[in-house]
Amino acid sequence: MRQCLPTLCLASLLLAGCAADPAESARLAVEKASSLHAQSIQAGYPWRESKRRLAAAETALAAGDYAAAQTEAEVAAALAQASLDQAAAEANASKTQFPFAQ
Amino acid sequence: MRALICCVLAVLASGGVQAGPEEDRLALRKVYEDRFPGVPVEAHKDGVYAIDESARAQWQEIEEFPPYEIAVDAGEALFTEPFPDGAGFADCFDDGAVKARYPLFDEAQSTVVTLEMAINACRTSHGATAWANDAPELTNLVAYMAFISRGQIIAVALPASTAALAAYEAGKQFYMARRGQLNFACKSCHVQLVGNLLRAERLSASVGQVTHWPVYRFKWEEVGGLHLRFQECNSQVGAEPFELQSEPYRNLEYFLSYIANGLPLNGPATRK
Repeated sequence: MRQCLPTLCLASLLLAGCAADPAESARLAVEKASSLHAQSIQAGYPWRESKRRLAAAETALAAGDYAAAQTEAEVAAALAQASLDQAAAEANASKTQFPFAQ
Repeated sequence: MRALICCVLAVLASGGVQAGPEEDRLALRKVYEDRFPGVPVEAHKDGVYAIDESARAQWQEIEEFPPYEIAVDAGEALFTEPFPDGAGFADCFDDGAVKARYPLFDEAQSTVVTLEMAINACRTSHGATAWANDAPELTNLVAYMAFISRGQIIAVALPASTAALAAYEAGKQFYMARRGQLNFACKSCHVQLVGNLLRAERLSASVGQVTHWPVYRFKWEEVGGLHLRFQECNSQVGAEPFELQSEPYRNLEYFLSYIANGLPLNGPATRK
């Protein structure tokens, strides 16, 4: 165990370094937002603001503005998740009597 | 007694009996009859002008020199233009007064076919290229065909197959589902809040919303189709709109047309 310790320390330092890499972090955030937005399109409930924020995040990432990309991507992901929640809530809307269902 | 309780529980658990298209249509007519006593349901073919006197007076003045006339004239010229093989639209649509036939559920294609789709199918079957769904030519031709179809009564057939009923239900689901960041459904404005003001605009009844298309909208400064309005509605509530002539919009048009059965066509028209 004592022999493995330096290796483990080095590995955790490398992992921490990777996680702290702003470019990689922003790329992962954009990827997540993109995936959630794609799911909302597939569900038939995409939101305009989610699409706009995702496009802004992709532009910022391409321009190397990782902080902006991270922020925009996180907002886009939150909006896309909200639209997916809406899709799930509305999935059974027509099962109630028309036209009085809430 | 136990059997009766079981039956009641089963009905409650199933969420109640699901209404069919005709029940939907009658229920919706009743909503508007109750909401606007003294206004015949057929009057909603004029949209908000059926329930807003001053807006109606302004609209009638505009209709004396309607801005969609240019589109109708252009559409008439297009209707008589021959295809590469010498045929014309008359070979597909007789005199062109066929607006009341659409939308229809095509069992062979297992999809809802709108007049716009039928026009493009006619073109491609005679060697011409299909128009883009946002092409002015397509809108102008529909404007002409709507004009000569005026007075025809909407009579969409009751969905006869499982696939047709599924398309109707998908359209109904679209109409009832809340969407966009504002969390609004079509029915939020056009059933539950119908007749109320949304800022300065009064909300029209959904029962007459398919009768008068295409429309010259002053906001657009041109003639546009029903699906363009669907896109606008979706955008207004913060939803990303679907494509013109996409399946969700065709299903929605099918649903709205069925519930408008019995109303006369009066397109094209002018709207604010």
